[in-house]
Amino acid sequence: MKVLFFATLRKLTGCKETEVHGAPDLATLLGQLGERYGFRFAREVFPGGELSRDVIVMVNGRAVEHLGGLQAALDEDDTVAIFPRIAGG
Amino acid sequence: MKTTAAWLHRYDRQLRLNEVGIEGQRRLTRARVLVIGAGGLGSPIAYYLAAAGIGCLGLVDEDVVSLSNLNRQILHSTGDLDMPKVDSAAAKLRRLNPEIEIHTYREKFTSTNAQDLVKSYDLVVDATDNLETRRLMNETCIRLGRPFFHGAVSGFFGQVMTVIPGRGPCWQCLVGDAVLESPSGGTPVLGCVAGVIGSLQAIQVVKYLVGAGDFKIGKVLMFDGLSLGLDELEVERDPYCPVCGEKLA
Repeated sequence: MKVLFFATLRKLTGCKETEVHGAPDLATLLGQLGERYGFRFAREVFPGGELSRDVIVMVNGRAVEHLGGLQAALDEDDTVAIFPRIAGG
Repeated sequence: MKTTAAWLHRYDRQLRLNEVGIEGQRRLTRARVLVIGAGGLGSPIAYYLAAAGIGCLGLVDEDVVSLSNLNRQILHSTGDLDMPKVDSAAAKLRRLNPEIEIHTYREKFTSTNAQDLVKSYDLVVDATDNLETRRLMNETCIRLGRPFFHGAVSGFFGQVMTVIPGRGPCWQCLVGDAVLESPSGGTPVLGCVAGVIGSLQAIQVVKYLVGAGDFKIGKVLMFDGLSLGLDELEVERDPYCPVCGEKLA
């Protein structure tokens, strides 16, 4: 599946997007991304194993909250977007 | 609708655009636009909308100008410190374009005044600095059927989304319905990034009013000022969205 990163998360990943295979749900995907991009990424996106309130995760254009959260099922052809909740003005 | 020589001269460079012309300019002159926030985003939004000849601009902000605002809030100057932002803003905008009406509301946008404020305007532009107010703006606009032009910034980054009620997702579909707590303390913002995002919002408002171009319904535009790029991300209407969803719990 394709994973897109935006804004400050790009500083942690060093890239705008990546491909991940073999993740049947969001928790597994984030675990794989944490291994790939390290502690700071994991702390930013899913501190303590919970999805951060400061980050939005969308699967195919829908926020994951109503798709099962960390248990949201993923397919190989899905697009997952991860970005910070931006509040400033 | 007046089309005096001065009116034609003031708007000459946009009257020449096929997408605007005399009829488009008349639409802008008839438009009533509410800008919520007179800070980093509100500055370029209000400046450009006033310059474009939006006939009636409403400005909502309860704050006064402080020194730490001035790296980005270009409607205000050092001489305006401690002045209400809406008054400081209105003074500059009236100097820029005395032909338009400017209404100021020195108050916080709350559930108490939200409907009264929004219902007397054609559309709402998001220039606030927190998630709680955005949630209320989005909800009020969906309820009253008013287009909502969202923008937000942080550091070198920003985002823009146009919400047309009944035609695609709303802002809440984008952010989900988790507790909307804004980060404590001031958000770091490079002033010119607020300029970019506010300008994009103003472009979308003008296009909407004259009926030109792509409103990017169902997309959020993500600006990255570090790598310098603008990305589009698809946003679906969430059937379980607490504001616009068809399957509300």
